[in-house]
Amino acid sequence: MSLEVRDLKTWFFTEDGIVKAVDGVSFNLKKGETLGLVGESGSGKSTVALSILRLVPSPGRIISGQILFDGIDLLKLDSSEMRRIRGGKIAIIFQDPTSFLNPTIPVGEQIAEAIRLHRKIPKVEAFYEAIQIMEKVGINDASIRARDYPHQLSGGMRQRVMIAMAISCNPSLLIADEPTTNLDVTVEAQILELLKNLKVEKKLSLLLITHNLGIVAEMCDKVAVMYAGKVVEYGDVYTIFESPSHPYTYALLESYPSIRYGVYLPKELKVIPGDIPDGIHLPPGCRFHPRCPFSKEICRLEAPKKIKIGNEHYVSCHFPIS
Amino acid sequence: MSQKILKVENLKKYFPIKKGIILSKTIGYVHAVDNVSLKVNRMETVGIVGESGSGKTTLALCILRLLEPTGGKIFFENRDITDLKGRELRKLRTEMQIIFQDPFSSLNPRMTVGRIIGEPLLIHKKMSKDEVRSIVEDLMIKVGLPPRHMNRYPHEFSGGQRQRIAIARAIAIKPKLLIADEPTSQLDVSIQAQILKLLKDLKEEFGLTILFITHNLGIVYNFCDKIYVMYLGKIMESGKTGEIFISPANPYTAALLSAIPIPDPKIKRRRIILKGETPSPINPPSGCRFHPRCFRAKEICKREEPPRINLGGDHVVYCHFPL
Repeated sequence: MSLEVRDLKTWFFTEDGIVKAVDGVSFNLKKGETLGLVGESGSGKSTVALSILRLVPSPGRIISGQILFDGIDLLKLDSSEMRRIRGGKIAIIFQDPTSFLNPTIPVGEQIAEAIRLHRKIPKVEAFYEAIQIMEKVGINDASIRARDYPHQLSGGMRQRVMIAMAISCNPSLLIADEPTTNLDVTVEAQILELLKNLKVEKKLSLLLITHNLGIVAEMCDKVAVMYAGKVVEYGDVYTIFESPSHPYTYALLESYPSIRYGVYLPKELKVIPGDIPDGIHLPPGCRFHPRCPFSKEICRLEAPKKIKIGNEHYVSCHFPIS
Repeated sequence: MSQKILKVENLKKYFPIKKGIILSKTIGYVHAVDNVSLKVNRMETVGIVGESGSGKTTLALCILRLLEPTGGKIFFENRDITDLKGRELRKLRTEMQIIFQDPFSSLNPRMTVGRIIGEPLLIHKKMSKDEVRSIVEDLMIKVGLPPRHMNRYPHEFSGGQRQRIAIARAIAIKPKLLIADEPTSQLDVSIQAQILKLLKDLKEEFGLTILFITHNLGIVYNFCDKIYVMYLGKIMESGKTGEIFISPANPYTAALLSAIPIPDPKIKRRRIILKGETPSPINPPSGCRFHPRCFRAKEICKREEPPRINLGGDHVVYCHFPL
């Protein structure tokens, strides 16, 4: 498996104007790697995920770019070819399992249905397989739970069902869009552990979308930091956390209320002034310049180009921090 | 003036579960808050930490007398306020204020920002409109909003700005105690830092005492002086923030702390992964409520409620087998 996204643009044509949700995003993801897409709301990270699966809702459209999956451009496939890839080779789990699962069908049957979409096997066999997958994702008494409806399960269990459905067709790429945001910390820890184990066992590549920097540090090999529709910095997880180069990455880390393990050293949180721009009224030049402490005249006039500043470390900034 | 501003003793809040519409019967109770005691000193920032269903918000609403407690006592500045009514209760409202989690539903969409912020002044201080106007202007500047936006409506503001409006309204009548119920959980990281900074600055300026309710341990670590950890309506452990984070004594606290993802890729640690999820507060587990998920639980934990153990200083734990 390899995934390469090149200069992807996904815009939404709303009544109020064009929202440039994703505006020239490039990154790649290698086999067995975990890439974290990090950003605040409105940065376009979820739209990237939907674009890869070609599930962008109207009035959104993919304007240009390439999404190369194992060398094939997904944007060029016809809809039946795309359906085979979606759920087959690329699967996704969403933030909110409640709105993803059908409330009127037992969860086991829903997983079986997903299996039968991609493989021609009898219903009974698919249901039996669904139970086995449910056991694999840590659902106790899976044969009984399989007959439960989504409302009979807790939030953590529903998230496990969604993961079971996602891995049911042995995908090579799993996209996880804020998979633990609605869960309590202790349940979040369970789900992250499960994802880690599945990744190793099934040799999955993982595209993890999150705003939680702690999860990124723990789970990811590479990180792409997004701001207002652009990737502002890309690098391996150690580089991003230890020597961030973009002022936004730096400020985001400084404003994050983190804890230190085994010591008590509370820090004064640094504040990034101003608000996140909306997708219609984007600042000219560098989109972060109105909030950036280092911005100069040129930042207002010219959009910064992507520059390579280290081994697989890229930043889009006129005045990167060294 | 005494140090203590708030004391809660054995507070209980049970919500009845009713069945039937006409001849409805109570068939059980949700034990939302069960025998909770806590103390808050003046000028302190105290964190109440817990996962969903721990009863932290119910506790806050009882303290504010927005919910009637089922049992127990609440003292504010050494005065029993558990049964205050009428004018006395209204006066109490000027001493305590709250900021809610959701800035989208906590502001009246049909009132201008100026009216929202000024309303407590009109109600409690009986000021003239002009006086209110100039105070509202000052307040807006203090919380970082341009006063010229006074005549706008809440929908014209972003989430972070709305939370600033809610804060301005809460501090308008200069309360002594401010309860913040997950004030930043719906905000982005960069906006969250702004709101926390604002609360800290206002605390210094107005001499506020803050009761901070949250599930975010990172915020507690950097923001609170003291912590109470709640689980299923009970306090599990309390103490100074440093004590709790360095040497958690209750297995639940330890598991909770080990579950937080830390933004440092070099840290490799053993996680305590708890089994299962928080059970329902309708029929909470017997004995220690945490025993079905606890990795140290023994026979006694099923039968008997854990004792209160003082570990020195402010550090208190409720557990049969503390760490």
